Amino acid sequence: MAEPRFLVVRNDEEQYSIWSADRDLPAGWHDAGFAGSREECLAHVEAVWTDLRPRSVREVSS
Amino acid sequence: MTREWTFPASFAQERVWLANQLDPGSPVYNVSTPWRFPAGVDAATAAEVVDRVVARHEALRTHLRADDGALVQVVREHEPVAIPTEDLRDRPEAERAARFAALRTELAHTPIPLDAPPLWRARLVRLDDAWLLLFVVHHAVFDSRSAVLLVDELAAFSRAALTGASAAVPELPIQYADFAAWQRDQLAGAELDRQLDFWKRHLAGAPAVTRLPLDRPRPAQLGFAGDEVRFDLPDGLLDRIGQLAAGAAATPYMVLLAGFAALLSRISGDTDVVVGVSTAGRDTAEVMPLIGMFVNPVALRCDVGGDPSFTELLGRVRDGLVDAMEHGQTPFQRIVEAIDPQRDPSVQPIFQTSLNFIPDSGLDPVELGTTKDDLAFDVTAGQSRLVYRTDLFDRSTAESVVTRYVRLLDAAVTDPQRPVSALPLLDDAERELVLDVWAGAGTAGPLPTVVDEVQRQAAATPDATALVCADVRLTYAELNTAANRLARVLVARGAGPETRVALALPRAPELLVAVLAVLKAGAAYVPVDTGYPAGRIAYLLSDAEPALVLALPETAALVGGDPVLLDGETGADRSGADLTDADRTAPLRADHPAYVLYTSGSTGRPKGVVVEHRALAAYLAWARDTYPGLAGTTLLHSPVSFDLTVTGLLGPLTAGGTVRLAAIDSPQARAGGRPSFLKVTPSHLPLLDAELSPTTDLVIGGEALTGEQLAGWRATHPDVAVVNEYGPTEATVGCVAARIGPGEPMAAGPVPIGRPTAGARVYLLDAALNPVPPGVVGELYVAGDQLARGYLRRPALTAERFLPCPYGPPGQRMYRTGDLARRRADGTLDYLGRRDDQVKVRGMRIELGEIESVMLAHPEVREAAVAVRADSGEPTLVGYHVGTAEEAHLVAELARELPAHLVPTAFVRLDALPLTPNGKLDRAALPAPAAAASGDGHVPPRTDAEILVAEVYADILQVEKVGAHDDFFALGGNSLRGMRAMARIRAEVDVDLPMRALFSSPVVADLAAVIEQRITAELDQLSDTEVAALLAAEKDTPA
Repeated sequence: MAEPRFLVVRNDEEQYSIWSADRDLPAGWHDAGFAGSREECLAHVEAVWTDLRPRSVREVSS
Repeated sequence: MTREWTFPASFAQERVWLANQLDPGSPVYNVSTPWRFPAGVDAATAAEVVDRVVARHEALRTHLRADDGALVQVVREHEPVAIPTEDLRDRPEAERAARFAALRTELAHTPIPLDAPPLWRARLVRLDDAWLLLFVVHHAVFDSRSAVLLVDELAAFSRAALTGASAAVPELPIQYADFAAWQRDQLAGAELDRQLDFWKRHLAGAPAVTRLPLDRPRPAQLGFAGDEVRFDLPDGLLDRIGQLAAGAAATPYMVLLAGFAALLSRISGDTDVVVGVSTAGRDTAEVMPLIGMFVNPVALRCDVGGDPSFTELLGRVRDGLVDAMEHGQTPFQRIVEAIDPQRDPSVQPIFQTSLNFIPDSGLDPVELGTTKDDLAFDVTAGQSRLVYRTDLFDRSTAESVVTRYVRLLDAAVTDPQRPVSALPLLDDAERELVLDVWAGAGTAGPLPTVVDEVQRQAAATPDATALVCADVRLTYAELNTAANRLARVLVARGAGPETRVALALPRAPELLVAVLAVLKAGAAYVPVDTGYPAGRIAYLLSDAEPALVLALPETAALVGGDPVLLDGETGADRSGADLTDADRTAPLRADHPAYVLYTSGSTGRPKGVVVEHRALAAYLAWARDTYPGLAGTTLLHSPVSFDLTVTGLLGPLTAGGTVRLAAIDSPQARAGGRPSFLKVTPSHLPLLDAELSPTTDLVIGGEALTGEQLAGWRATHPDVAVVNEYGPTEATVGCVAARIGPGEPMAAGPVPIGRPTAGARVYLLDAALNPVPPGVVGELYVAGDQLARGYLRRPALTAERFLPCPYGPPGQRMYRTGDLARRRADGTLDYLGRRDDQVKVRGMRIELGEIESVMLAHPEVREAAVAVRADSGEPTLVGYHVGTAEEAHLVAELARELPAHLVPTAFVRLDALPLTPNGKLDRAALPAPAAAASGDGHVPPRTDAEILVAEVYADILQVEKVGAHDDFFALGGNSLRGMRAMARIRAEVDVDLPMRALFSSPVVADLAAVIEQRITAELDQLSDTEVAALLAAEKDTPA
């Protein structure tokens, strides 16, 4: 059986998560442009999500 | 004298006989076949017609007998049997129907003993112009095809009697006993082995039990008590099922089965389900016209894995059913013995559910109040039913199983391309209930920082006592001022929002001052337990990357580097006024982190959970509302690195209460009177003496809690509320809680965890993230204000555990706890353990808490823990107990209350259960049980009864050495041999020993104990004279 595919997804606070590719994406979440196996998606998140502060916190601080 | 002939029993008769032995007083195997004679047939003729049928079919003249351990069928020569008649025509109409119903019910409910001919009962009843026959017959000699044959022949002989013509009934080339002999001959030796090999392969690795959503734990011994829910399929559904089947090269039965498999998978969480179906067992023309018992159960194993579409599942069910039916003649009893020889009397072997499709026959009008399966559907074109085991299910649960089955089936047939996971189980109202009403609000509006909360309190009650630690006592004003001074030092050294400050501080006043100072500076505090090993402290300090480390002179060496030393003078020259944003490196907001706590998951390195002020303020607001005791004195006894302590630390400081800082076993903990609030783990409960027990709120968290653990404490403190709080660190201290008010009754067993706190939303979801129905086990997900930000500098881990939430406001996340839970009918949550450490022994899922609570019910067990150990390879259950209980008593107690697979095989007595620094049970520190005393574990039989049982086992099983602890089935016994063993024992001791005694007590010592009990009971019933006579007779017998 094919390995299940996941998407890297992001909300408006620029928090990342992963989501099964064949499931409807919940409201308020967007495809972050990366798909692959679960491990590949998590590795991608590890690389791109460098600041875990929500966007609203980052914007006030800077 | 009536002549008799004996023949070997058929496999089906053997199976029914054995099952019947488990509860011989039950009418579970009664089959009712009522029939109405044509007008014009009088009572004498009707009786003669019945007699003609009985004369033709030996099965109706057959009973069963155990002859020295072998089951035989005894066929008697034909002789007319009188049928009682009752003419109801003289009675008033209303009374007539009632009398008829009563007769019918009484006949159907009266057990038919298998060893006394005949195995049927009949009545002729006259209501109007025709005679009605009530005919009830034991399943051992009759099946559903037999019912059709019976009715046909009754009709044929009646017609013949009315017309004088000869009856049009088929010739019977053989009789049932001929079939049985032929079957015994066919299914033996290599052929039987070949068939059993198929079944062993087919069922290899299948779950021993489908995890149905039970309302009650399984009793140690199954009975036949059952009930049924009758229902009608929606109009047209069977037609649409037929159309789907026709287009998929399948039968309507396969569609019904695929729907049932899908339902079972969805409500059990198992993707591998085994369902019982049956074969008619009439494969040759000769047996077609015979009345008799031919049916053989067949196990249909359905793979629901990989989330197939319904069409795909239907294909799998079709192939599986065809395959199973091809091997349908293998005697089911033989399969059971080949697969599951050590059968557990609490669970029906191989399958626990079944589905029959009998489109053309109606349901029996009489409800027997019995069941063979846990759940069994009989689907007909008219009224259908679900029969359920009342030991396990409430009626409301059975009704919801029916509703969900019909809903799922209807949707599947409407859109067969839908994946099984997307088929609906809930209606709209139920969805709203589980996703909205029961999930909780999740937010209480805008939230302040915890700094605001503490400062508000300090301003309101400056002279109240905030802290007591040994002989140090600080007022709110003093504590707040000290914290402000230290905070200014920390800010000057770089601490501020989004930075962390590590606290390497023991339980001392400085700890509280430091926690507040870090928060006031805007930074997050990271507690470092000074009792931890150096390596762990070093890891934590490097992982947390703190801007500063605070230590006391005596703890500085633990942390290395250049910590900020708190020496009583630190910040003494600074202003004691509250800090404003202008004093900080950046403005402090409610979504800045307040603390980072490290948790060790079951795998990998400990990870820092980042909790923001918003989440903490939400929890504290709920806690202040829920725990009035926080305004009094709390005892803070556990390390602050454990998030359970947040309640007793920051709770009182935002409620005007006093924090008493002391170890739980120190005199200081007891100084100053009982605290009003105390939070502990269940493992602490035995320590709560009269001086330590709180006066207002006892909060228990951190581990699963049982009613047994609490019962003693509640009995001595009836006026204190107890709250069971559940929550992972990732959802801030506690996100679900159950309050048991003073005097409120509390059941034994696991205490529910209750309902979501005001700042949390809680969902129970299945693997496809669908909400599960009430009663069904799901994984617990938490969303809402109390959610942590994530794991410090662990983006992938955060993304993996904090998922997009499909159910709340857009863009929100939900935390996957890895915990399993279930909702009661009122929405209350029950905690069921971790998803990833479901314990299995011999393929059976074990709930350790269930065993622990039974151990705790023993009066001499003070504390108990159960663990699964694999010290000797095979995983086994080990019970640990503190107290004076004798192992033998404990085993006997457990065996009475629990299914055999839940009784630990070894016990270890401990002086105390080992605890972690946080007060939780330290499972890793539980010792291995000592190896069995005499090397190979052989314990020679000790009493006369044990010697007898051991000798009988040894002889029947051809085993050389049988010890007191040996199990009949483990030694290679099966039901048939068991029958012989019991016959032998009965012959030796002359007591009434039912077959079920062997199933419930297969171990030599246990069965011997049952025998001794029975002998004692029988002696008790004798009068003194009779006993004296017996003793005298004994003396007279020459030695």
